[in-house]
Amino acid sequence: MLNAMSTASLTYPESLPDQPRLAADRAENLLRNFCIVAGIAAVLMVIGLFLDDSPGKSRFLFSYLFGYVLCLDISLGALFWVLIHHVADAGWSTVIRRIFENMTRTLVVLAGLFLPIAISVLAEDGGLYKWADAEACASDPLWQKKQAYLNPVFFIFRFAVFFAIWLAYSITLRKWSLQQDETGDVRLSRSMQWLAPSGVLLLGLTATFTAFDLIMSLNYTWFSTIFGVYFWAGGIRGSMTTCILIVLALRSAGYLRNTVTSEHLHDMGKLMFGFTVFWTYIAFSQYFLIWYGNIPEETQWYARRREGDWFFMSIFLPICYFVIPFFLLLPRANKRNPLTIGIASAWILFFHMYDLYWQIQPELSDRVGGAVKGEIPLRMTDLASVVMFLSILGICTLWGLKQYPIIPIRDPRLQESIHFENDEFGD
Amino acid sequence: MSTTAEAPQQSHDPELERFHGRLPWVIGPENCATLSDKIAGITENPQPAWWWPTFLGSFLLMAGGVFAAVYLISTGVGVWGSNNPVGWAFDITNFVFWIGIGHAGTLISAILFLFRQKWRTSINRFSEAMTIFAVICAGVYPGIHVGRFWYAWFMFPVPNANHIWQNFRSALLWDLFAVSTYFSVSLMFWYTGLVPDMATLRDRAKGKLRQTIFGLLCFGWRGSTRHWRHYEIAYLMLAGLSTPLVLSVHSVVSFDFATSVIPGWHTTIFPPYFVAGAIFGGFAMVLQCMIPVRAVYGLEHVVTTRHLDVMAKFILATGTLVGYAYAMEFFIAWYSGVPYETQIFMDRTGFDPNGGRYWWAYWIMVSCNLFVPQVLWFKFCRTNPWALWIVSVLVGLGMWFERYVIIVQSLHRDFLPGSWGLFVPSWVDWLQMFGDFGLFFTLTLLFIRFLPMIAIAEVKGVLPNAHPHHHGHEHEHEHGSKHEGDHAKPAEAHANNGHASGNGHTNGHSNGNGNGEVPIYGPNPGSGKTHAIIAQFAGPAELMHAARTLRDAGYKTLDAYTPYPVHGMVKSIGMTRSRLPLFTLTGAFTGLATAVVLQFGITAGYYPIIVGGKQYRAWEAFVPICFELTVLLASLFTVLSLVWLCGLPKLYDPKDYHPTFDRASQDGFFLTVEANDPKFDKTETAATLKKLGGYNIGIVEE
Repeated sequence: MLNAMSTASLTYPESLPDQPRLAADRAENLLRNFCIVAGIAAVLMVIGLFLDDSPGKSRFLFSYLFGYVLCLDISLGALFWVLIHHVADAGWSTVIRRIFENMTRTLVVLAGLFLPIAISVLAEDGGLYKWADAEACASDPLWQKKQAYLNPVFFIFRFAVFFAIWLAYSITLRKWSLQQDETGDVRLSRSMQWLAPSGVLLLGLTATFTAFDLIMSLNYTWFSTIFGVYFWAGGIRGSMTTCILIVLALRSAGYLRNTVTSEHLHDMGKLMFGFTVFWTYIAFSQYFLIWYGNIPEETQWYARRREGDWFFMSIFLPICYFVIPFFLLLPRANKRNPLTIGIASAWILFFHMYDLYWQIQPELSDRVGGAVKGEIPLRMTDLASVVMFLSILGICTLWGLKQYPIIPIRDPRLQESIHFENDEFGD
Repeated sequence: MSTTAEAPQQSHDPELERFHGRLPWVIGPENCATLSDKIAGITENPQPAWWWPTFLGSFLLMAGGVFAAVYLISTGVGVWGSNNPVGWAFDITNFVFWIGIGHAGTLISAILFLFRQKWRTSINRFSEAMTIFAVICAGVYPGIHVGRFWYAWFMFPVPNANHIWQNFRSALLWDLFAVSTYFSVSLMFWYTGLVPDMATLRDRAKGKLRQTIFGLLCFGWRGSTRHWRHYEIAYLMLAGLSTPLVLSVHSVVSFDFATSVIPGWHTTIFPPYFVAGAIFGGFAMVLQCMIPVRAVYGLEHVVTTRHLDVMAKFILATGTLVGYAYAMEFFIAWYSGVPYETQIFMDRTGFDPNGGRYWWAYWIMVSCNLFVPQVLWFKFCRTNPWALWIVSVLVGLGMWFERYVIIVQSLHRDFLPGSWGLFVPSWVDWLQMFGDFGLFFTLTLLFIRFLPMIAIAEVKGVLPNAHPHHHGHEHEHEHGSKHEGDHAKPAEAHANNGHASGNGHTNGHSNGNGNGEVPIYGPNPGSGKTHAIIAQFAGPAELMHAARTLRDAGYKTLDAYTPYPVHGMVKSIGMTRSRLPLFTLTGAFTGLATAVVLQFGITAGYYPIIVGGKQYRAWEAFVPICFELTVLLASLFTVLSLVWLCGLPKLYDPKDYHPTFDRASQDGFFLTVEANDPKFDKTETAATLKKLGGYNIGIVEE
C-alpha cells in the first residue's frame, strides 16, 4: 500500500490506515484539467473586459469582484478553521486540517489578483467604487465626511496590511505543520497553539473591514454594524462546505476512506448545520432591525433588493439558504451519509454564491447608465468569474495536496482523530 | 499506540506530554464512591461556620429589596430616580444585567455539551442554578416596574376586559415570551440533570423523611439503562433546543433597544453583541461564586485549575468580542455620517466638549470589559484563583455599567436639547438593586445547602474508564493492549469496594437458602412471586460483557442499573435508540403552529391594529414569538415524553429489597433479568451470572 512512498523523502508511520499521498499522475492530470478550465474562464473574462462598454468597465469589475469575494471568503474561512483547530486544542479535526491549510494557499494568488480592483480604485473613475471618483462625489457632504477612510490610497494600504497578516499566519501555520510531518516534533504543535489565538483576533478584525470595504462600500451611503459578522458567517460556512466536497472527492478517488470516516462527516455536518442557523440569525437580525427601524438611509439597501426581479431572489434566499439546508441537515443519518452530506454541501455552496451575488450585483444599477433598476444583470462574465476563481481555489489546494501528505502524518493528535467517534448518546 | 512510539522523544517536557493524550478533568484519587461521598456529603453534613452569617447578610439585603418593592408599589414609580427623558434607568439596567448573568449557565450546560467540552460537568450544575436564580432576579422588574403589579397579567396573551389583545409587534411582549421560555426551559434542563443526583441523595439518606422527599423529587429514579436510554436523548434534545434559545433571549432583550430609533440603541450588531456580553458577564459571575466555594468546600480536585484556565479563556474571548462590538459601534457611528449617532458617541466617550456627563461610566465599562480581561493572555492570571477572581469581579462591574451606559446615557440626550436631562438614582433604586443581589445570594446559598452543586452523575461519566471501549466492531485492530490494561486496574479496585460494601449487607440474609445458594429478598422472602434476579458487577466493562453474553444467549428482559449512563449499554441489553426525538419534533411543530395562529389570528384577524406603520400581515415581527413558542413546546414535549416513556414516577420497585441495590445510584453496577423472561431459570441464570463475574446475586420477589 505504501509503495509510492519510496520516492518520497519521508517515511510514513505504519499505523496510517490510508495512503497519505496522492498518486502523482492522477493529481497532475486533475491539476492540468483545472488549469485548462481556469485558463478558458480567464480568456472569457478578458473577452468580457473588452466587450464591456459600461463606463469604468463596471460590468466586468462587478463580475470580477463577485468571483473574487467568493474565493476570498472561502480562503479566509479555511484560515479560520485552521486557527480555531489550534485554539480549541481540537483532536477530531486533525485529519481534515491539511485540506484547510492547503486552501489558505489561495490567499497568495488572491493577493496578486487584487490588482484589477486596485487599478479600478486608483483610476478614480468610480467603475467599481463610486467613492473612488472624487470628481463626481465632491459635492456630497456624506462623501466628504468619509474621505478620511474611503480614499484610494488608504484602501490599498489597508488591503496590503490585511494580506500581510493573512499570509503571515497562513504560511507560518502551514510551514510548521509540514515541518512536523518530517520531524514529528511535538513542540511545533505547541507553537501553533501559541500563535493561533492572536490570529483569530486579527482575522476577525481584518475580515470585518474586508467586508466593509469590498462589499458594503459599493454603496458608500449605507452602513450596518453587523455586516462584518454576516461576512464571516458566510465564509466560514462556505469553506466548510468546500472542505466536505474535497473530502468526498478524495474519498471517491480512493483516499482517506478509513481516515475521514462518517464520524468526521457527522461533525462537519453539525458545524455546517450550526453555521446555517448562525448565518440565519445574523441575516435576520440585520434585516429585522433595519425593517423595524424604517430609517431611509438604512432601508435603502433592502429596498433596492426588493425591486423588480431582485424581490424573487430575496425571497428564495432564506428559503434555499436556511429552510432547505436546515431540514436536510437536521436528521443524524443525513450528516453521516456521504451522499446526503455531499448534496447538502453542494447546495449550500451554491447558495453561498447566490448570497454574495445578491449582496454585490444590485449595486451595479446606479453605475451602468440605462440599466433597468430591478433587473438581475446575470451575464457571461459572472459565470466565467466564478469558474475562474473556484478553479484557482482548486489549483492552489491541489497543488499543496499533491506535494505533501494530505493529512498531518506526525501530528500527535492524529491517532485520536483517526479513531474519533461521536459520543453515542442513548446507545 | 504507534504515534507515541514513533514520535521522536526529544523532550520530556510535561507541557508537551499533554499532546500525547488527553488529561483527565477530575484529578486525584476520585472514583464513583468518593465523588458521591464528597458532593452529596456537602448537603448532608452541617454547613461550615461562615454559612449562617453569609446567609443572614444576604437575607437582610433581600429584605431591603422587598421593602423597596413594597414601598414602590404602595407609593408609585415616582420614588425611583427615573424621569423624562431617562424613563428607563436602574430598573432596566438591572433587568438586563441579571438576564445576562443567566446566560452562562445555559451556555455551559447546552452549548459546551454539544461541543463535547467535558470539563463543563464540574461546573454546569452550579451555573444552571445560577441561571435560574438570575432570571428570577431579573423577573422582579417587569413585575414591579409599572408600579401596579396587579396588572401584570396584561402581559400575558389573554384579552383584557375590552377584548383588546397584546401588541404582538412590541419588543416588550417578545421579551416576556423570551424570558419566560428561557426560565421554563432552563428549569426543565436543570431539573432533568438533577434527577439522577437526587436519587443518589435518596439512597444515601439516613432518615425516612429525607429519603421520602428525595424519592418523590427524583420520581423514583433508579439508574435503569432503559431509562438512561431516553434520558440521554432527552438531555441532548434539551441541549439542542437551549443552544438557539440562549442566543435568542439576549437577542430579544437587545431588540427592546435596537428596534427603536434612538441613537446609541438602533444598531444591527446589538443582538450578537448582547449575547457575547451576557456570556461574558455570566462566566464572570460563575467564577465569582465558584472560586470561593471550591476553596471553602475543598473541591479543587473536581473544579481544577484547568477548569479555571478554560473559563478564563472564555472570559477573554467573549470580552474581546464585546470589545469588537464597541469598536464596530464606534466606527459605524462615525462612518455612517449620521450626526445623531456621532453626537451620542462623542458624548459617551467625553470627547464632546459640550457634553460627556457619563464619560466616567463609559470608561469604567471599556476598562473593565475590554482592557482588564486582556491580562488573561498570561497563564498566571488564568490559573491563579484570586487573580482571576479579581478580574471576574471587575468584569461584573463593567457589565453592569455597560447596561447603564447604553440605557441612561443614550436616553439623557433627547433629539431636542430642550428635553435633555440627567438621571440621579434615588435610595429606592439602590435598595432595590442591592436587594436583587441579596435575593440571588440567598437562593444560591440555599441551593448549596440542599442540592448537590456538582452534577455527580455527569462527573462520574467523565472519570477515566467510565465507558468501556465498546466500538470494537469498527476499529477492532486499533485498540491495542494498552487500553485493556487500563481497564483491569480500576475494575479490581471497584470489585474490592463492591465486595466490601456488599458483605456488610448480605449478612443475615440466609433466609434465601431455601433455593440453594441464591438468596431471596422481598416482603416475605420465599413465599412471594419471583420478580427478577439481580447480580452486581465490578465495573462498567464487566457489566457490559455480562449483558452482551446474556443478550447473545437469548435473554429478552435484561436491564442494567448504573450510576451514570454507560455508553454502549443500551445495545448490550438488546435495545435500540430511543424514539424520543419524534416527540420533540411534534412539540416543535405544535409550538410553531400555536404561535402562527395566535399572532396572525389576533393581530391580523380578530382585532387588527396597525403598529409602527407595518402591514397587518407583516410576518417579521412575529418571528421572535414563533421561535420562542417552538422551543418552549418542544422542550415541554421532550420532558413529558421522557417521564412517560420511562414510566415514571415509579416510587416502588421490588428490586429495592436487594441489599446492595441502592449502590446503583452511587458506585454499583447491576444486571437484572426479569422472571417473565423465556430463558429465566433461577439456578441456571444465577450460575451464568456468577460465571460472568457477578456477585451479590439475589432473587427478588414482589
